[in-house]
Amino acid sequence: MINSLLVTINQLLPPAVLLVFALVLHVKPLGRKRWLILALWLVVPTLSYILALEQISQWFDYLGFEYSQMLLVALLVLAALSGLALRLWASFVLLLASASCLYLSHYLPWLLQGHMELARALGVCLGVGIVGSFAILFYFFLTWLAEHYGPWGVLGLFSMHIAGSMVGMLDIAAGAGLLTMPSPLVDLRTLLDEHSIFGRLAKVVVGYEATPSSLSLWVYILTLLALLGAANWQRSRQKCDI
Amino acid sequence: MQRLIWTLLLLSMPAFAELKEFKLVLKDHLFYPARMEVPSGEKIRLLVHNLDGDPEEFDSFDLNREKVLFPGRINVIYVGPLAPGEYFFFGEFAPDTARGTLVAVPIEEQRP
Repeated sequence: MINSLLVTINQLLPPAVLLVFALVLHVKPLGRKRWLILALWLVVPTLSYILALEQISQWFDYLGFEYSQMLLVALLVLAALSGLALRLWASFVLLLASASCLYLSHYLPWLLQGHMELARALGVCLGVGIVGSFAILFYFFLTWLAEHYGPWGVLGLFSMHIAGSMVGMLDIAAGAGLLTMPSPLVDLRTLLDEHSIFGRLAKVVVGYEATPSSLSLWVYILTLLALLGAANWQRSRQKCDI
Repeated sequence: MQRLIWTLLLLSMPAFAELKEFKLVLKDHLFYPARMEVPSGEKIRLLVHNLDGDPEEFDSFDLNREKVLFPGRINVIYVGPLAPGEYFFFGEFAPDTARGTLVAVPIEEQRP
């Protein structure tokens, strides 16, 4: 039970955090029709991708899974960029659809195994409850942050979250043999280990890494600057319109 | 798009060439061999065959790798170059049993 609880928390926390970011940043309330469209765009691509994953994983000399995951991260970053710059509904949908394919592709194959013992089911339910509670608290924290300190706090945290995903793509590329990661620049594990509870939270929310390499640091900073630049451009354009 | 993928693959071919290959098997939620010597200082290709009926997730904090192992499928993970030492890995979905260690040793000290 403990293991299924931990697996559920580990795997569901990133999509939950991204969903909260998307809901807070997408200021317009979603009507019933848009909720339906969103649900359709989340469920159909995610299930299709997960059902095809076993086959995809055997493509390109057994590296199809990695290539498809890298493509999903690229789509996620692209959706975040276009969402911040243009505030399009399509970007919002693409962001959540690519995130759900990306993050649930590890969890759903495990969850949908043939047998589900009571202990595992209990662990999953508890995990979903904990992630749900965290997501609600996080939602209130972000709305409080936006109300008291303006939008830049939320925009900054969101950009850091997406920059962390981009760094995750480097790890996938290294696992696929496409690049060799340089040695870490610093070792912050004594300060905050990224596999501890708070380290994991920091990793999920702002893309924290305890042992970042120069390459991952550069990719993180450049992605962060691009996202903040897109948000700034959108806000300055809004002011011009007023 | 397809041309772009093939170009990228062709460009990455030299990186894959002449890499040493090591085989791991996952059976009954156990990794075989549970302890494996690999050469330090060079990139290696790890072939993991999941013989179980369930998916598993290969996870290693030491190697900074995470990969879903689909049931009945062969999965490839590129590792290294590693400094001499021991690198622990485990299956996230069965961490009590699916555990193993890669031991990176200089090539001259490797057992035949």
